[in-house]
Amino acid sequence: MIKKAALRYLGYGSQKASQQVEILLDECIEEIKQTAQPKAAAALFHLDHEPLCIHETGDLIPGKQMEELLADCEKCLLTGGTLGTAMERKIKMYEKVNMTKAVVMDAAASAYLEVFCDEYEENLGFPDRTYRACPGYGDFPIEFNKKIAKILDVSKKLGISMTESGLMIPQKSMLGVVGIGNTGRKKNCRDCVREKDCPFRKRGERCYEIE
Amino acid sequence: MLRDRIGKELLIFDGAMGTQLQKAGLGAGDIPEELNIEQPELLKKIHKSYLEAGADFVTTNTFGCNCLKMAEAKYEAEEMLQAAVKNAKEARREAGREQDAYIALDIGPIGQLLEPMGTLTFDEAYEIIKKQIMAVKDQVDVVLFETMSDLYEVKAGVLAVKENTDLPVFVTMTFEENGRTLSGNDPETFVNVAEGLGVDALGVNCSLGPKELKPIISRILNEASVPVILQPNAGLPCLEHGETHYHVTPEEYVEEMKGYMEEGAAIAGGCCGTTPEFIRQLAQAAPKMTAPRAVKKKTKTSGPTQTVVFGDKVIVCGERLNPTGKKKMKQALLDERYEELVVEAIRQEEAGAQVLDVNVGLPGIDEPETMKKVIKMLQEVVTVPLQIDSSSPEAIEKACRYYNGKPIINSVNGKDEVMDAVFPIVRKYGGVVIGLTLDEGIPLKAEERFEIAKKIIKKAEEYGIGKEDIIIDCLTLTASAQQKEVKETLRAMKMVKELGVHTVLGVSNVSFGLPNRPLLNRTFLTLAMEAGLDLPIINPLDKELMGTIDAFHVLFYKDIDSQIYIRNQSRETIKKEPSEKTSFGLRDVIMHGLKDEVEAAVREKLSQKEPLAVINEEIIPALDDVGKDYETGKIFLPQLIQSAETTKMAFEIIKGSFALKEGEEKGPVLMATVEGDIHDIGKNIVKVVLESYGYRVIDLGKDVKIEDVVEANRKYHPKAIGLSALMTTTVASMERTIQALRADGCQVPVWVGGAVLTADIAQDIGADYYTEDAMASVNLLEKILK
Repeated sequence: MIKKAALRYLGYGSQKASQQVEILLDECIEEIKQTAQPKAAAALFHLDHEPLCIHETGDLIPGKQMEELLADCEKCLLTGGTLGTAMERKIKMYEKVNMTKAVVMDAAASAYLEVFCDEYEENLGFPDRTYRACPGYGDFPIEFNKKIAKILDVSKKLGISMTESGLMIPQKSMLGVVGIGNTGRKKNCRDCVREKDCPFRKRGERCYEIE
Repeated sequence: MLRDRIGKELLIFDGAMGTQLQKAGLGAGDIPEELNIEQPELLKKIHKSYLEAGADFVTTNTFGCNCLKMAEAKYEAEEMLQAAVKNAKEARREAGREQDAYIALDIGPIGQLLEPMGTLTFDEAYEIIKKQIMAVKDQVDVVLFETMSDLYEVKAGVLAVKENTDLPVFVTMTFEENGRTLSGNDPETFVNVAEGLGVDALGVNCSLGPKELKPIISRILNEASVPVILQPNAGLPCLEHGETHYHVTPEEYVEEMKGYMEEGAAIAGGCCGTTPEFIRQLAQAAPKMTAPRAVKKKTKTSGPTQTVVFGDKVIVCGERLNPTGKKKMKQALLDERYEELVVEAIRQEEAGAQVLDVNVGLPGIDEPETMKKVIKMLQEVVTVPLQIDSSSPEAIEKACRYYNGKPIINSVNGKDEVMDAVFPIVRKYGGVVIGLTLDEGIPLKAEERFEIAKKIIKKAEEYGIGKEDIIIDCLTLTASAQQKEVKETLRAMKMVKELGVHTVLGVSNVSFGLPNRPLLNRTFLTLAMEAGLDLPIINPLDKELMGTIDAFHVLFYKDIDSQIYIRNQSRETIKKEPSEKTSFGLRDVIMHGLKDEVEAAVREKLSQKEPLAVINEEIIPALDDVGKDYETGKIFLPQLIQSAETTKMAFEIIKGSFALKEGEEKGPVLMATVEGDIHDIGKNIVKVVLESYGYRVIDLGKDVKIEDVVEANRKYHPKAIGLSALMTTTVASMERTIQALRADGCQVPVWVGGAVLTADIAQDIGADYYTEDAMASVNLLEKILK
C-alpha cells in the first residue's frame, strides 16, 4: 500500500520501477518506521448548513466541494496527523548527501503519513463517514488549515506549526475534515474533489479503484 | 524568599486552568486569555480555590499570551498579561496567602516552530518571550515555562528571563510515550541543557498521567541536580466521541505522586484534567520537606536530541571541520559554501563520530558571524553534540548562544586573561570546557602540565564551574620535532586523571613530518587510551583508527561480550575491496547512476582522453540520453537524480585532476525558495540536475528574504535566477521578489517553478520563464545562456 502510493508520487504509473528503485524504496520505508514519530488528534463538532459552518466555533467551511461533501452530515471530525520533526530532519539530511534517497524517502513518507492517518481515522469509531478532505485541494482553500490548527490546538498536541502563508511544519503533516454520517461518499476517484483536474488521472493513473 | 525554600520544603503547585475554564463554558477555539479582562471574578475564583486547597503557587492564566498567538485576540497581549497578574495577586490577597504563596508567570510555547525546522529565528523567539516578561516582571515571583516541547525555545526563554530580571525560573517540558518531546529532546538532554542555563527547577508537566510518566520522571530524578517539579495530567487523555476526557481519580493521582515525592520531587502540582480536589489531596499527602536525592555529577555534552555521557568508554570527536591544512575547506569557507561543511559533518557522524569539532578560524573572515551561520546549518541535520573550537571569545559566545544543546568549548589554557574571558560564557550558557595545559608555552615536563591543569580547575571553581564540566588536554607533541617529550603527554594524562577530570587529545599531531602517519596515529592512540584518554580528536573516516578504539574496548572489558566490536568488525571483513576497475563504461555508469563505480570509470577515461573530451564525448551525451529517457517516460525521477548525482561526482573527479578554464564552467545561476516557503525539495532537485550539467549553482536555501535575493544578485552577478514556491500563498512573495530585483536594476532572466505555478501565472508575476521540472530547467538554461 505504502509502496504503491510512493511510486505513484514519484511519477510511476503503470510502469514498473527498476529493481534499484524498489530496493531503495524498501530501505526508505524501513528507515521511516525507525525515525517517524507518528501522532494524530481529532475532535468532533456539529455542523450548521446554509451557510456551512462548524456549530461550536462558528467558523465557515468555504468551498462548493465541501458543501457537497458534507451536505448530509450533521457532524464532522477535524483531524490532524504528523510524522514529527525527526522525520523532517532525516529527509533534510539525505537532501545534503544523497538526493536520490531524499526524493524517494520524501515520497515514501507522504504515503506513510496517508496510511497512518487512514488507520487512525478508522479506529475512532465512526464507521459511517466521508473521506478526509484537506485544505488546499480543489476549492477548499489552504488558509482553512489555520482554522483547523487553532481549533485542534495542533501546535501543542502534535507539534505542528503553521507559517503565515498557511504551510505546515513539519512538512509531513496533515489537517483535514471528515463528515460523519452515511453519505455514500467513500474514498474513490469519482467522488474526489479533484476529479476534474487530477494530475495523476491526466497521466492515466488513479489513486483509488472505483467500487 | 522563594529561592531559599525550593528544594528544601516540598512545595505545591496549582492544577489545571483550562479544565476549569472549560467547565465554566470556554469553547474550542476560544481565547482563554481574554477572560482575564472579561471575567476577572471567574479567574480569581479558580485561583482562590487552588490556594485554599493548599497550593503554594498561583499560575497566571497566560499560557498563550504572546504577541503571535494573541494576534487575533480582542486585546493586546500586554493588557491581558497585566490583567492576569492582577487577578492572581488579588486572589492571593483575598485568600490571605500574601506571605507564603507565589505568583508564577505562566509562559507556554510560542506556537511557531523555531529554526532550523521552522521559520521563527532564535532572536525572534527571545524577543517575543522578553516582551511577555517585561510586561509584568516586577509583579511576579517566578517565571514558569511549561508544556515546552522544544529545548531551543526553552533556551531562548531562560536567557530572556536571566538577561532581563533576577527572577527564579522553572521549566517543565512535555514528553510523549516514546520518551521524547515533540521536538525529539530526551529527558537527559533537557536536564543537561536546562541546568547548564542555570534554571532554578525543572521537570515534566502535561504529557501523560503520573503512572505512565514513571520512566520519564525516574530519568529526570536520576539526572537532575536542581529541584524537580512534577505536574502530570489526570491520566491519559481519552477521546470519546470527539471529546477529551481524563479518568484518573484524585486518590489514584495522589497515590502515584506520593511515590515520586518520596524519591525526591521538590514541587508537585497538576496539569490537564486536575482540579482543586486533586491539589487538596496532594497537599495533604505531601511530606513537609523534600526527600534528599543523591545525584552523581557526570561530564555530559548534548546536541539537540541526544546527550553523550563521559564515563567508561572512549568518545570519538571528529576533527575534520577545521580549515587548518585543508585547502578545499578553506576555499569553501571563504566562498561561504557552508554546505560543504555540512556534508563533511554528516560523513563523520555516519562514520561513528559522537562529537564534532567545529573550527572556522581563517584570516579575513568574520569568525563570530561565520560560526553562527555554520552552527545553525549543522543543527539542521546533525544530531551529535558539537565542540566549538575557537580562540576568539566573541566567536565562542556567538556559538554558545545559538547552539541548541550543551556544547564542548575548545578551549581555555592556563593564562588568566583567557580564562577570565571564556569562563563567564561557559557559566552563562552551560558548556563543558577544554583546558589546555599550557600558559606562556607548552611545558616539557608532565609535572608542570599537571600544575596548570590544577590551576585551571581551581579558577573554574571560582567561576562556579564544576570539575565535571572540565576536560583537560595534556597536548600531543610532534614526534618528528620533540620525540623525547611525546611520552610526557601520556605521563601527564595519567596524573591529571587522578584529579577526577576527563581528558582530551588531538591525536594526529603526533605524526607530523613522518611517513605512514596512520601507523603512528593509531599506535599513539592505543597508548593514550591506556593512559586514560577519554576524548580523542581524530579523523573518524580512518577505519583502522576507529577499529583500534573498538579493539581497545574489547581488551579493556568496556565492550561487554564484544558486541560493538563484532557488529562493526564483521561488517568490515565481509565488505569487499572497492573495485579499481569497472566492467561498465562511463556512459553506462552515468545512465544507470552507479555511484560506486564512477570513480574507476572516470579515471579509466581520463587515461585515454583529455578531460574536456571526457566531458563532451562521454558525460554530456550520456546525460542527454538520460534526459530524453526521462522526458519520454522511460525512466522516472529517482533515476534521473541518481544519474545527476553520479555525473556530479564525475565532474568533481575531473575538476580534481585539472582546473576548468574560464568559461568551461557554466553559470553561475542563483536559486532560492522564496520567503515564507519552506518546501525546498523541488528546488534542490533542480539544483542537483543543473549541477550535473556543469552549472555552478549558488543556492540561497529556503524561506529566503527578498532583500537577500537582491543582495546575492549584486554579489554574485548570476547569469540567471531561479525561484521556487509551492503554494498560492507564497507565489505572492515570489512576485515581490521579482519586483524587488527589477527595482534594483537586475536585468538577469528569472525563471520560476513550483507546484501551483503555470506559464500564465509566471507571466502575471513578471517572471521571464516558467519551467515544469528539472529537465525543463536544464533545457531552458541551455537555450538562453548559450
